[in-house]
Amino acid sequence: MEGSIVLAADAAPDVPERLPLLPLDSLVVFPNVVVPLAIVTPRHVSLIDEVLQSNKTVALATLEPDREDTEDAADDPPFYDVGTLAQIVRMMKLPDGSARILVQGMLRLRLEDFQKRDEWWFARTRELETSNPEGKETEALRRAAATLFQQAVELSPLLTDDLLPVIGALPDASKLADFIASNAGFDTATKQALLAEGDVRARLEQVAELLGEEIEILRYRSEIQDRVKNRVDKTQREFWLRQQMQEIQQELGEGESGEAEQLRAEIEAAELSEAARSQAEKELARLERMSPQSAEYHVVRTYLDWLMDLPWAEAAAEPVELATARRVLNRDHYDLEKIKERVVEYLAVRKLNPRMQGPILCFVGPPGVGKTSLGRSIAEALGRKFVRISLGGVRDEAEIRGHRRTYVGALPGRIIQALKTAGVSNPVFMLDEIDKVGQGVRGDPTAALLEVLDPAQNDTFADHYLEVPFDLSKVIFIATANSLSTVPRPLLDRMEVLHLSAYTANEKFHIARRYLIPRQTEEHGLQSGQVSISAGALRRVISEYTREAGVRELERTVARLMRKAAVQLIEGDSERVRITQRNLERFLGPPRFRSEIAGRRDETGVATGLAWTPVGGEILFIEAVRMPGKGGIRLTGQLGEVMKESAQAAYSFLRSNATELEITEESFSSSDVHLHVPAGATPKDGPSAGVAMAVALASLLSGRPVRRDVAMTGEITLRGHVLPVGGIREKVIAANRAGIRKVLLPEQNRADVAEIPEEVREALEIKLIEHVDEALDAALLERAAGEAAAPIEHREFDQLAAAGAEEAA
Amino acid sequence: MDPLLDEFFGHARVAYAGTPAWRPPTDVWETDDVIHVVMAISGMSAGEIEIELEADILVISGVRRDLTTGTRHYHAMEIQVGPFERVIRLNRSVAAERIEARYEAGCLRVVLPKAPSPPAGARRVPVR
Repeated sequence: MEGSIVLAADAAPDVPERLPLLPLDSLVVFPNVVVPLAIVTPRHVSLIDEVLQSNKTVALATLEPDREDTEDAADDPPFYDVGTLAQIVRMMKLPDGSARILVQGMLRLRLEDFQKRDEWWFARTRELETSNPEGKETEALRRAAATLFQQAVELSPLLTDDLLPVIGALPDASKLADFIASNAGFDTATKQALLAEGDVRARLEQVAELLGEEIEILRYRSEIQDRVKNRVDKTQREFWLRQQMQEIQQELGEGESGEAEQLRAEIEAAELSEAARSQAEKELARLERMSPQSAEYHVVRTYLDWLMDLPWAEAAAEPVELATARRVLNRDHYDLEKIKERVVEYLAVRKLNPRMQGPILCFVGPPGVGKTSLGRSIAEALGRKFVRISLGGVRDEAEIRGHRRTYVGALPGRIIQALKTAGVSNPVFMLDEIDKVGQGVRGDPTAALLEVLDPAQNDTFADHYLEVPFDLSKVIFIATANSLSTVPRPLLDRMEVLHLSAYTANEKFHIARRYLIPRQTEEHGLQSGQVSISAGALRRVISEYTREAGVRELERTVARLMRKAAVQLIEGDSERVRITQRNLERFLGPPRFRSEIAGRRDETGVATGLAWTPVGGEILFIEAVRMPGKGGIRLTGQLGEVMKESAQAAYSFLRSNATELEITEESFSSSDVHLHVPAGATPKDGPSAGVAMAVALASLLSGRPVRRDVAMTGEITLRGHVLPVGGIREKVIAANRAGIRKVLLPEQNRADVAEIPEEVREALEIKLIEHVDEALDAALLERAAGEAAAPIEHREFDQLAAAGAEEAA
Repeated sequence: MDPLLDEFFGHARVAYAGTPAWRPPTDVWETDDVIHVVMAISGMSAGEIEIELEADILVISGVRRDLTTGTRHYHAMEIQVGPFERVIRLNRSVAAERIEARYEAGCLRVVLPKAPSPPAGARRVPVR
């Protein structure tokens, strides 16, 4: 029995009073736990030697943090004051002199009175008092701790499942607590605290609490790991699937696997707006998931092409000088000073403020006066590209703003299409024939144009097809129209209107000389000088072979001359062809137009009015006849309401002032009057023929003939006052063309007189009138001798019929 | 790790003894009518080993004293001393009154004849 301790199987071993301490660094050994230890320090190896000779037990004492057992501090020993009595179960010496031991914890020790002797620490020891009460509370705590530990093992990658069967085999609360404390991965200080806790319930509670925290941490950790793993998995999966897809596509011979990549590179390279780029990338991602066979694929593909083809950023350079711009404008167009000046002004401002928005101009004028070609030269003068779309007949809003992509074969609107053609974001953009935009059942195209033409909105023009806004603010818009009457007010409001009026004969002459003849000469392959047109011949062409506001017909007629001349040259009679006033008819045949008043006599009941049409001014004859009746008046010639009322007013005015006008009352009461305005097939309306109708009726009723070379325009009131009318310039030019000598205009149109070309003003006498009386004075001749005011002769009808025939020719 | 150490410590992955008593290596096998239990427990005498049977649970226990004495210097120490105990569940009814136990040449041999019904109460088996 000497040197050994006797232990009953289930009894606690006796504790020797004083035991050597085996110091443990960062390690706590619990009762019943078996731990392998490496003993390296020679003095500890010899301590083990010593212990093995006696009872093979040793006190395991854990060092306090950052303390060494070499410290010689008896009053402040470096150990915790609770340790473990341990049995050395096995030992083995290694060749290097160190030892490995296997120790089994036996019970808790209270360590007191530490002493250091011969390099070894000793302490007085006694068993730590423990309480291990049986009972429901202890059992509940035990089960809770066991369950928590199971959860911890399941969650923790460090705790192996091997631990679980042991838990099941430990019905003893104290042993369970120690087992968990030893294996749950707590830190050293925690373990030491659990070792020092003698009360089993308190120890179990602590263990349960610690396990709870540990589980929280483990859960959180595994969540984070899952998330990270998910992310990695997703990326890998996507990569793998893409790879597969490429393989499959190659296998199927679709071979377009590179297309997405190529598109991606193109998108990278394209200068897209930010919105457009994100849209493009989104669509590309969709595209990549599609089969190239699917219909949708091509829709997306086309869409991407559109996006990339649009000039999001490119702006044509504008190095143009004012002088250059002026030269270009003058080279291409005769006169039109106001418009040329406007363009030069824009250029000047643009030089001072490069961010200025493009103006929105609207050229209004008759056909053939050069609106479209003016746009072209403005573009050239500004050094910009020119694009043009014709709005004539556009009836669908979608033509302006495009169709949504949901529709089969959807395309962007014409605006975007034209910009793609231009390839720059700042072209001169011509909206031709804006007055001929129709209105259909599918929305109002003019409403869509409102957005395009509003500088405040058009920097984010939204095309239905594109879906991303496009900046139109750098575009210079030029609209053209023949008439403003059909252009909606809000649209008109957004534009700066510039009128181009009809050309006078003289202007036409210069235009022909400078532009038309050289151009046609070249187009017909003739050398300059081979064909010459004399000035006289040209003037005859203008006045006798054409009748128009613009110069289109004139150009065609010049072309006709060139063709005929070409035949002569080829047939080889002469080297040169001269076209003169005298031989003109050999080329063009007899004159097609005559002065409308030439050959007319001064007649009663026929007055010459002036009309304005979208294609220029015209003269029109207002005819009145009288027949036996009861004072009624008939109005014919497709007259509108306004014009009819105007005629009624003129008639009433004359009847109320019959005495002053030397008209007998019988003229009214015993006859009916018929007023007609040829040509009967053309609808007419407006108040501006009031003066002319009054003159025609006055002439008819008073029997005084109307001077054939006087034309007039103006609205009349019931009192005979003359009100202003529009289109003065066009009307006067038309009057001049028709051979009129004197024109009567409302006094209130005085300002418009300045607009009339000088050559016309010089050729005509212009009289401004305030009252119908003045018109009557100026237009009516004295009653022809012997000619009564009354009866209507058949002769007059013949005369009128002859005049009508002439006009139709 | 050194293969020797591996053998030495390797089996103790879950290093928990459960009780302070150690467990001597034991074989249990059976024939048609007998169950054999053989325990390698050297350095004992027959009277120092206790065998008890309660129902089908056989408990063998004892205390092995240190086999070496005097001043010594260990190079290896593997023989466990102190209290030991094996608890063996037989899963069979045995005839308790006919159990024979013999200690010979460092081995304890227990022969347990099978029986149709388990014995009532606990019974100590003397070792010869």
